[in-house]
Amino acid sequence: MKGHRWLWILVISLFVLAGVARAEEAQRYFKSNVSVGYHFIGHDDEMTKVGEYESLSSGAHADVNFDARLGEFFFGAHGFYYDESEKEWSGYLDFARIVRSEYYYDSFIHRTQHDELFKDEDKTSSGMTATNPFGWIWDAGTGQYELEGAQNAMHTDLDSGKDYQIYRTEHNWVTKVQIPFFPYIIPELRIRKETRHGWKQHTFMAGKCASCHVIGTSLRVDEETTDVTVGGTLKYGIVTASYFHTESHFDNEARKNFYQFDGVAKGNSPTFRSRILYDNSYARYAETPDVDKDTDTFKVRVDLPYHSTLYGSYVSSRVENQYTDNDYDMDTYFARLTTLLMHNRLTLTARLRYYDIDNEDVDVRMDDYNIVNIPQDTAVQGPGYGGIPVDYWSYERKSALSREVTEAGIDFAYRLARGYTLRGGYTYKRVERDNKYFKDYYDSTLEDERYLDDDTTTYHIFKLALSARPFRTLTGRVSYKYYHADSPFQYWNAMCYDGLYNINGPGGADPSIDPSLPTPTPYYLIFRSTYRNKEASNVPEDHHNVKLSATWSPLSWLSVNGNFQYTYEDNDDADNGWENNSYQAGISLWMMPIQNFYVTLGYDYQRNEYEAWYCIDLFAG
Amino acid sequence: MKGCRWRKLPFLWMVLFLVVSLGACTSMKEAKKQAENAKVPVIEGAKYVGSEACADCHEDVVKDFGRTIHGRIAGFEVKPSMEAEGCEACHGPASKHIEEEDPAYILNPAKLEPAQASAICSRCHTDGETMDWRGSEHALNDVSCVKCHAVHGDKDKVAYRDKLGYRHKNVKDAFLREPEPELCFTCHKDVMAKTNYPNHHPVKEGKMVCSECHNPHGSMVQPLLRTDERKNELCLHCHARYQGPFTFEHTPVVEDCTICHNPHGTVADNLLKQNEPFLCLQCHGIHFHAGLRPDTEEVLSKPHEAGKPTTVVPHDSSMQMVMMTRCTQCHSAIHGSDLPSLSVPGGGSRLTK
Repeated sequence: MKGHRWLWILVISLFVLAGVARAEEAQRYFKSNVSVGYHFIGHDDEMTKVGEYESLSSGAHADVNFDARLGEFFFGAHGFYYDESEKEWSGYLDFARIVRSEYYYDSFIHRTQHDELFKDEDKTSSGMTATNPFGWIWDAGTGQYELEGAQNAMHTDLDSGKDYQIYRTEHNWVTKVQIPFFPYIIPELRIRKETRHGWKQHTFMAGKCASCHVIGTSLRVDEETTDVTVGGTLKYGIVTASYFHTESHFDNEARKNFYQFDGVAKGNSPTFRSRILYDNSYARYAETPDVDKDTDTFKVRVDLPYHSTLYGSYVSSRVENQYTDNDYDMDTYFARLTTLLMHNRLTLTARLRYYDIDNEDVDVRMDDYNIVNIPQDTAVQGPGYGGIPVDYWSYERKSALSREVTEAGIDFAYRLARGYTLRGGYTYKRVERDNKYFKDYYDSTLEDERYLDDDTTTYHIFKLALSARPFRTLTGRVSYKYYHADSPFQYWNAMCYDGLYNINGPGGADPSIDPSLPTPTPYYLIFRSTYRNKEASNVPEDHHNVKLSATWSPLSWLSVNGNFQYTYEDNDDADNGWENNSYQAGISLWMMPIQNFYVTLGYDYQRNEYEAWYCIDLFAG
Repeated sequence: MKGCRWRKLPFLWMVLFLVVSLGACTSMKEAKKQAENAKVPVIEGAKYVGSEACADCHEDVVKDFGRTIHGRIAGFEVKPSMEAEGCEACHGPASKHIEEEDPAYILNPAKLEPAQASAICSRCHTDGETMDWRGSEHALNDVSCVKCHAVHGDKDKVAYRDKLGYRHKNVKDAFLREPEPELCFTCHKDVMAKTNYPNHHPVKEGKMVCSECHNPHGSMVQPLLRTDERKNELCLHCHARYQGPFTFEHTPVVEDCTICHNPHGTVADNLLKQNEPFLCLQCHGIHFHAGLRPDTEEVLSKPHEAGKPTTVVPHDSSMQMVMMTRCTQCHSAIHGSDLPSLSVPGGGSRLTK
């Protein structure tokens, strides 16, 4: 690094000297600007949401700018300091327009909070007696003592006093070269580096019975993303073309996280018997993989005669998870043709986009983990001992990411009269997902999330807008957008209500169950997604959106804006009857009674009403 | 994606463009000029006289112009087809304007139709992020270049907060008339309101600007997103920890980030459209403890008493527990994971670890 630093200093010095040498006969200037201030931050101890991005301490801040020219050598810099963590600086060099380089850096802290963990009432174990106050129970099946009931009954924040915050920095450096004797090609190099360091809260289940007895612990964040892009642009006549290759590397340098999933700390009753894969072992959790992404981007623009422009792009990328070697390829094609007709009154655009994502299938092998057999929870098959080899649950995972998407559309803008423009468009979009078999279990009798419909969604999107300027002081715009989706995105194994009274899956009776409840009792039900065979969704099948906005500026120092928006969405295709009504209305006023003194007032009202049927599954364990 | 017919034509689009381009370059010399002058009015009878003549009257403009990017442009940067450099490159030939001293004989982008004004800029700005300008949302909505850019020079930024009280992110301002996000909020008031919601990207704190996610000059991905691929790739540019691809997926995550998140701002935490668990319950049945009463102590301490239900009673208060628990407390790997969940049923795909 030391050698590189000297090389840079040498190169920059040469540029400066060259510029100064020519400056004698050329213009030179220096312009600077310094601003300093002091900010006061008040604190109180009220229970409010953490100010995620606001600085928390009072102090002096400064902002410095300068621009200079020495002959053909232009350079400048900017620096801003708010506090130790919040600062930014940038600089540029321009040597006779042959070499143009810019650098930018900024940093800030993102403060997060301790999530309030669920607070349950303390519980008394059914195994607790005067002689066994801790609820230890000898399990003949596993041949060990187990602890029932009382363990982890409360939430546990293991790092309750820790400050959770992530310090984020970003460096951006762009350099272009344009050679005077062949200016048509402009090579370019871009380097971006982003880092995130700090701690954040992480919650997870300590054991199979701990779904509401989670542990809150600290997770180290130590991430670095580096993007290096090389390529260039060709500009010749009516053709502009560019090609760039980007290599991105996301590196997670935080240590791996392990937790001892203690086989003792689990329920004893058959229902709560451990079925966890990591019984009595240290297991990894909260793992963020390193990711590599390579992207090739090729774009062409041709300015054709008759006021027409053709633009197209092709992007090919490959993303690879470095921990699992799982990857996906993505190819994206886009073309747009725009033309002016009717003496420039009508702008017409046609576009076509297609992309294809191909994610690898994954062989999920459960027998790689700690336990060998899965205890069964049915009274019929025994009180929860042995029986099913864990490999029974192995399967081949088909990716829901894999898909083909085709989109075609046409847009127009028609100038009705000076100040009045009518805007409209139609888009057809087709999403063909390749997740027909989301899971393909090796044991054909296991149908958990196995049989899904082949999934294709077709969209028809319409939009229309009118913008108007009836007077010099008044502008307005009204727009309407509607789309209909055939078979919108939804979850197939969402709800079970239809099967509540007709469950024919494995289950067992509990003698203490209320006899008025339907049978078989759900208590011992092996409740898998195969029984949740009703669909639910929170995306619309039909979407309507109306927007109105108007700005009135009667005086040069006064402006008033009002805006209103209403959205209605519903989904009758899914079984949960999803519906959304959203209103948003706002008014803002801007005044500048004297120079450099501004007053801005605003009020915004938003109301969202979502309606959806919930399904309460009658089972526990 | 086997059998995809599109795969057999990976360079169809590029070949098409190259054919058109080559044809245009070689056989339509006159068309070149016509294309580059598209829509720009022509001042009949006027001739080019050079920028020095402009300085005689417009000294205030010319004075600092040389310090700006436009004032520094070198001759070799200008397209051969451009007939002038300096002021007249954009304002057209000035001889008649000088003779008559009449503004009607000079091109003033601020007074032209939006498409005409933008066409002047598009003579040079056909590369980079302006490549897809023609036919883009802003172009179709009559937002011309000069509505956002002050072509003669940058504005000095002394105050570190703008008129809205938002701190500037002092990135390259590219001749913007006002700093971002104030400039964008001139029209997009509804978005401005959302940036003030309890949960938001750090726009008002000056750590992000609109143009980091949006390319106002055009994009194939609506709404003007700064990506050449699908929408999610934009989010993953910064949130790379969720890139995957993961062994255990959450299908809406790979479908579209905005199914659950509103990036401009929300009342709920983590930019979620609704608070947990309500958001999750729109697609998932309530499970596990949902059916348990909150007074589990009483229930569990008296097992096997005749006539006493031990659990799973659809009771009014049974909803309390699930409604007060965030799903992601247990399903903490909600964006995907390579580590199977704790228990086997479900094939390890429950995203708990």
